[in-house]
Amino acid sequence: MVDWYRASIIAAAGLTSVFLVLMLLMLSMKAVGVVLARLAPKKTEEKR
Amino acid sequence: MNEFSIDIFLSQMGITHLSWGNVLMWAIGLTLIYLAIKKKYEPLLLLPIGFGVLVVNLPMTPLMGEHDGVRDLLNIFFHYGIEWDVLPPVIFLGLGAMTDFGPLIANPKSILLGAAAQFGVYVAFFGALALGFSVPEAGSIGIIGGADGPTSIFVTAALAPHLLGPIAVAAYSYMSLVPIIQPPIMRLLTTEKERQIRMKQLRPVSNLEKLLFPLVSAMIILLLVPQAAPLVSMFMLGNLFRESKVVDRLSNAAQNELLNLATIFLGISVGATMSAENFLQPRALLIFGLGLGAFIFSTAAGVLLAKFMNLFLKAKINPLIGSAGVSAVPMAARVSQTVGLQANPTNHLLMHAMGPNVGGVIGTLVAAGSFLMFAR
Repeated sequence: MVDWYRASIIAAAGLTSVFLVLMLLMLSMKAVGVVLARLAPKKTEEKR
Repeated sequence: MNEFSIDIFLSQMGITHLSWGNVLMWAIGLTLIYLAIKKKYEPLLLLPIGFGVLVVNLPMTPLMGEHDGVRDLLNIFFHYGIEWDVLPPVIFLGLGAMTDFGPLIANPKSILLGAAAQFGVYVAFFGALALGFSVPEAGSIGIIGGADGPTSIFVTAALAPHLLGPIAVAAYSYMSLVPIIQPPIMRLLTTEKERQIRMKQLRPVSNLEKLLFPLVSAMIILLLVPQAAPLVSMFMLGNLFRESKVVDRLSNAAQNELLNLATIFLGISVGATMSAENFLQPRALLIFGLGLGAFIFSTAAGVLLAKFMNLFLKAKINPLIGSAGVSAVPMAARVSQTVGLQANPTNHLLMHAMGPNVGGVIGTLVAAGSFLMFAR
C-alpha cells in the first residue's frame, strides 16, 4: 500500500530544497559579483 | 569410485551450473561492451560494467561471494567502494577538479534551469510508487532523471542496494543517449524563432569569484541539505584545488589518476551486482522505462522554464540551453549547441549551456540529499 501522503511530502520537500538552495546560490553569486564590481573601480581610481 | 570422482570434478566446473539466465546476461554484458567500444556510449563506465556482468555470470566464479568469512575480489571492491560510500565521492572530487563554474557565475540565473531539470526526478519518483516500488526504491529510481551516474549509485547504495545494477546501467545508458533523447523534445517545445535567439556574450569572471564559489556554495548547500555532504564536499574540494591554483599536483591527481582508478572500481563493482537472479526481473524493465520518462520530463522542464523566464527578461535566453539542466556534463550542453547551430549556424550556445549544465549537477546533488534525508 503506497503512502501517498508521505510520498507527496518527500517530493514537495525535495523540489522546494532544490529551488531554495539553487536560488540562494544564484543570489550569493550575484552578491559577490556586485561587491567585487563595486570594489574594482575604486582600485582604478586609486591608481590614477 | 572413479565415477564418484568424475561427478565431483564435473560439479566443480562452471559449465555444469550454467543457466539460460546466465547466457542472457552474457548477451547483455557483451552488448554493453559493444556499445562502449563501437558506439562510444559512456565507454569509461559501460566497458568495465559490461565486463563485470560477463564474469559474474560465469557460474562458480569466486568473485561476488563470501567464503569462510572472507569476501571474494569483486565483493571487496563493492563492499568497501560502494557500500561504504567511498567511490562516488572520490569521483566527485575528480569532477570538481575538472569543472569550470565560470559560465554559471557569469550568468547566475541559468542555475534555475538546473533546478527545473530536476522535475523529472519527482515524476519518476511518483511513477515508481504507482508501479509498486517502495518509497526508498522510488527515490533511487527517480534520481536517474538527474542524469548523474555517481549520484544515482550513491543514493541507490543507501536506499535500495538490491536495485543498484539496473539503476546504474539505466543512468549511464541514458546519459550516453542524451544526443538521441533530447533533440526531438527540444524541437517539439520551441519555435524556430526561439531556437535562433542569440544570447549576449558572457562577462569575464574573476579568479576571486571562482575561488569563492566552492566555499560559499558548500556552506549554503550543506547547511540546508547536510545529507548531501559526502558528494558536495568532495565536489567543492576538487573545485577548490582547481581554482586555488596552488595545488596543481592535487588537482591533476584528482582529475586523472584518482578519477580513473575510482571509475575502474566503480564500473566493475556495479557490473558485478548484475547476476542473472538479481537483474532478470520485470522490475528491471520498469526501471529502464521510468528512467527514460524521468529524462524526458527533466529535459522538457528545463526548456519550459527557460521559455517562462523569457516572459520577464529583457535579454532573452535561448530556451535550448534549458535542456542542459539535466546534469550529463558536458554532453547535454553540447546537444544545446548542436541543436542551436542547426537553427542558426552562427549562434554558439555551448558556454551559455554550461551554466545550467553544472547547475544541474548541483541540483541533482540537492535532490539526492533530500531523498537521503526523508526517504530512508
